[in-house]
Amino acid sequence: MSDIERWTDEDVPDEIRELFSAARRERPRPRVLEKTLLAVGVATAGTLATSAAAATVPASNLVVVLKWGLGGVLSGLLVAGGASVVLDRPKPRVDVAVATASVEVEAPQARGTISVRQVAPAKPAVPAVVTTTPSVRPSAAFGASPEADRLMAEELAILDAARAAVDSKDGARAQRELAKHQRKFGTTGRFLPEARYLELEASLLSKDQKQAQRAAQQILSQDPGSPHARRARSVLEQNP
Amino acid sequence: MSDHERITLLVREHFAFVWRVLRRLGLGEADADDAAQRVMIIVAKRVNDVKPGSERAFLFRTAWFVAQKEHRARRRRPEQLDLESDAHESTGPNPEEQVAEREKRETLDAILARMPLDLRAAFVCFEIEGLSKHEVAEVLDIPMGTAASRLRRAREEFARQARRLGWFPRSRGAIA
Repeated sequence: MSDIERWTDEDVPDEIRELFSAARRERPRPRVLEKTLLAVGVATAGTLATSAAAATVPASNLVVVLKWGLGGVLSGLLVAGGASVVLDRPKPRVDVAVATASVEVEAPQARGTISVRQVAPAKPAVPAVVTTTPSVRPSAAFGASPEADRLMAEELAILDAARAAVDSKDGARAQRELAKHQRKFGTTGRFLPEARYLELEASLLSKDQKQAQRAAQQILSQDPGSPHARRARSVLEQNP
Repeated sequence: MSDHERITLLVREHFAFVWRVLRRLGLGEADADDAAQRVMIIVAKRVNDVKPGSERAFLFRTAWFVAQKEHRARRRRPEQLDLESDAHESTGPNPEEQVAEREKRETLDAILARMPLDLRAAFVCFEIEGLSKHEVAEVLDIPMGTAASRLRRAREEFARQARRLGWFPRSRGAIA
């Protein structure tokens, strides 16, 4: 092919170069990123759980796939519901027992390591729906277990409530939601950068400058390139 | 890395890129907010199709499709005011600088708006967002040679439209 160099590397008028630079400096509002992270979490909750199961379990273990699929759908529903409702305790999970055997899935520590073991002899001749509580341990991988998805749904719901409070300029309510997040997830939450950003906004709404500065410093120390960094710097500059 | 971790990383690292691309492809700020979210959801659902190293090309391509769809939808509905366009939080430079920045972007968008969408996509991709020639070919699904000639045509068209708006003196620059 005939080669082509980038135009701005050549002799382009400064005025034009400036137009390009101004375009590259444009950024979306930080809360748009935050809303997108929540929306992506909601939209993919079911699909990831289902595809993770389908990709790692042999076809012969159809029952396991069904179980994971159902878990994925349920966790998707949980996440969707979680957008407006804070969950206080684990929900019972519907499980399916099929004629040949009842199986239990141990939550994998990482994708691709599902272990399946027989826990009961073949019993019912007709598929039956029973209600159980989750018997899996939490895992760091999203979609790896219903328990992990439930925790994520709970975290998303708390942060969504905090964001709604910030949007309605209710700093005190936002701080209560964030305190709940801190109690529940401490430093292990999956959306800590979003939590820090909301903490910053909530503190400003509550006129708590010191807390706002602390949150801003945490944002900058943990990820200086974060989309929230500009906001954090601005807060620190305005309140030296 | 789990799918969830990869998706979170993709969104955090590339959200601003996708949003800017949508803005340069002609969407207002509020429309770009919504469209960027749609792009990220599409990409998240197809994360296993995104080859490592081709993330920006995949995102740009998806953004381009979403922008085209948005343009078609806009033709079918009455024009709506972008009420949020001035609602940016004052986190950057002082108000005068912000006004100057906005004016520059408006000028650029006015020039880009006069270009055919395929040339505009190639131009934004390569000249403004800095994707490689290989990525441009991948995004537009065309051979490398075709990508190079399209980039040249895009550059000529940009210069022509810029001149019409008084932003590209004939005596200066690589394109006469």
